[in-house]
Amino acid sequence: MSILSLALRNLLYRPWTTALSLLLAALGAGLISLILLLNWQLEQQFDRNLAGINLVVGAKGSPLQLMMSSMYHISSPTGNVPLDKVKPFLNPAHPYISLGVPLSLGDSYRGRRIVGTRPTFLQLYGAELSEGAMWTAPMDVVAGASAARELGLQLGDTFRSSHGLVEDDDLTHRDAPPFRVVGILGPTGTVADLVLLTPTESLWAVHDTHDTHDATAQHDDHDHDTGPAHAPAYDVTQPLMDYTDKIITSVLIQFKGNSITALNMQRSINENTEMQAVTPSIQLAELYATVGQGEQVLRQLGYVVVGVSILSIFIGLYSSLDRRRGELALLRSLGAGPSKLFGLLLMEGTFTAVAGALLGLLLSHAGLALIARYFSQAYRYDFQRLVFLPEEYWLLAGAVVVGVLAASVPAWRAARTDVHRTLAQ
Amino acid sequence: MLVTSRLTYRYGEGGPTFRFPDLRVGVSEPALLLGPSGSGKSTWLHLLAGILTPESGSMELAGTDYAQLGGAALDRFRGQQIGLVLQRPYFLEALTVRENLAIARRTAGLPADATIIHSTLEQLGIDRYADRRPTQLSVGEQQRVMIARALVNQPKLILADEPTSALDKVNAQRVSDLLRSRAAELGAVLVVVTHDERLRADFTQVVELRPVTDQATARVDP
Repeated sequence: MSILSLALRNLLYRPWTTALSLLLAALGAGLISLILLLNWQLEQQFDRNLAGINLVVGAKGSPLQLMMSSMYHISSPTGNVPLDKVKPFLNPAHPYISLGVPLSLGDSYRGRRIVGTRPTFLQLYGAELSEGAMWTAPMDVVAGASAARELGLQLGDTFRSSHGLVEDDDLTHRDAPPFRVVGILGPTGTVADLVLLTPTESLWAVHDTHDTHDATAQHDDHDHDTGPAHAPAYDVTQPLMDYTDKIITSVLIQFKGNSITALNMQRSINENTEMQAVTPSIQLAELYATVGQGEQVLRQLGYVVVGVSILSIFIGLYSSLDRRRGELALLRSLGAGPSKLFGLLLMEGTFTAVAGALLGLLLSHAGLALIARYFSQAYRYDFQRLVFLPEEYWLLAGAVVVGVLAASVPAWRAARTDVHRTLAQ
Repeated sequence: MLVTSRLTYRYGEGGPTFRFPDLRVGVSEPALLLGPSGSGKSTWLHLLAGILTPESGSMELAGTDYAQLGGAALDRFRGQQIGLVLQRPYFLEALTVRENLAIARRTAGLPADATIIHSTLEQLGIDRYADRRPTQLSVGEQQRVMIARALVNQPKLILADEPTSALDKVNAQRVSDLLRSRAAELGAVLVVVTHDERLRADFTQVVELRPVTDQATARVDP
């Protein structure tokens, strides 16, 4: 039975006071930890998917929406742009552009976005085939690793797409030709894992069939199954630049040179065309600044709760001193020096703060797991659930400081217990 | 042997000074310090216990003048050489009886020897309460736990502060017998401070303190 275990036993002997202080410390540390974890996770996701993209060109609208839909496949696209207008960005011989990746968005399969593109998409995210082969014809699909796993797609499987990102039978393109899985990508940790890739022509094919059918059937109801349709004859090896009167959603661009070129090109597109160009790094910085304001508020709230927990530990210990005066005098009579009494109270405060912080970290990681599940269901993004940030070690170190701060005055008073006066009463 | 000489204590700067009679107490001749409230007997006891530091004089126990000790050395001496039976039932409430004895040993820098703790409890007939909290025991049982705690470090000096004040005649006699027999077994000097006249017959050496206004025994210098 040491002073250390006596401190623990004293805390357990006053369970309600201890629980209150511990809970407040847990709330403060948990809130700060959760903010740190979420911030880190979001930045990881955003940064990982930057993929060296310097510019996103698409239809006018919200710049954030264009970036989120084209790079992170979260929200709806801002619209479509005529292929003729973006052809220069797809030109392999462009003097400033090293890579231009076309994207055609708008359809999905069971909540997974179908992305009409070119094989250069794989180059952008460093993706490689793990099974099957690249597409050779319209309606061929190469599935991202987690999309294939979660949808249970295997080579040779066929499916029909739906309009938008919502799972709704009424929105299924029943009259369009089915997609067929010809390849599955290995995992990359990027958005390439989340989507179903197909040649740009596949989406044109779906809508060509739909438009033809609408024209003949004179209605626009999606819920019509007229039997198997056939893919219109497109040659997916033909450069997109060769097509006219077609539309795509956006182009992801990597520059050859420095960012001055990007800034100039962005300004030129925004001022002189019907399209908009967005620099992802700037958009992300703005997004972080916006999110950061909310984060700051929550972080301040966390600090306030930590302050309240300091107060709670202090009040708990200080108010117990009168009741414990005899006990402290007894310890002195048994040979404990003032420093031992100081240490006892200090340990009680520190234990409460550290145990609270540990509980808070546990709660924040449990909270992260819940949020991760939500993000996974809503946006298909996977968070790392078993991550422990260096800042969280600092939180634990901070808890020691909090405990010492809260307990130092009561500990000082305990050390100065007047043994003679107390025992003589 | 406990020997005190010219022991004085002053309450604060310019406060009254107590002068205490010299004591010479052997293992076989327990001393009873008798006196009414205000006679300075608590001050005397706390001087003997090393809780208060005398202004002058000496207190020698087992060859050590502990009046000259201070700080950690005095704390260690008090913990290891002096067993104090308190007047009020102060315990570490979060701990069991056994743990209260264990912490008494650890605080004095001694190992929490389970055998010594058990035999001490057994000798006082309270081993069956070892795993209970002291607050769950009767007043008489608590009294025995306090005596056990004072004995568990096998001290050279046992000081008891009003050990029988709350007890009836029968129980007071039992506690007196217990203290004297255990002190004799341990080879420890026993000094009991009390106003309980019933104990007078049990002690070979009785020192009477009078109120501080009477300068015969405990004197106050202006």
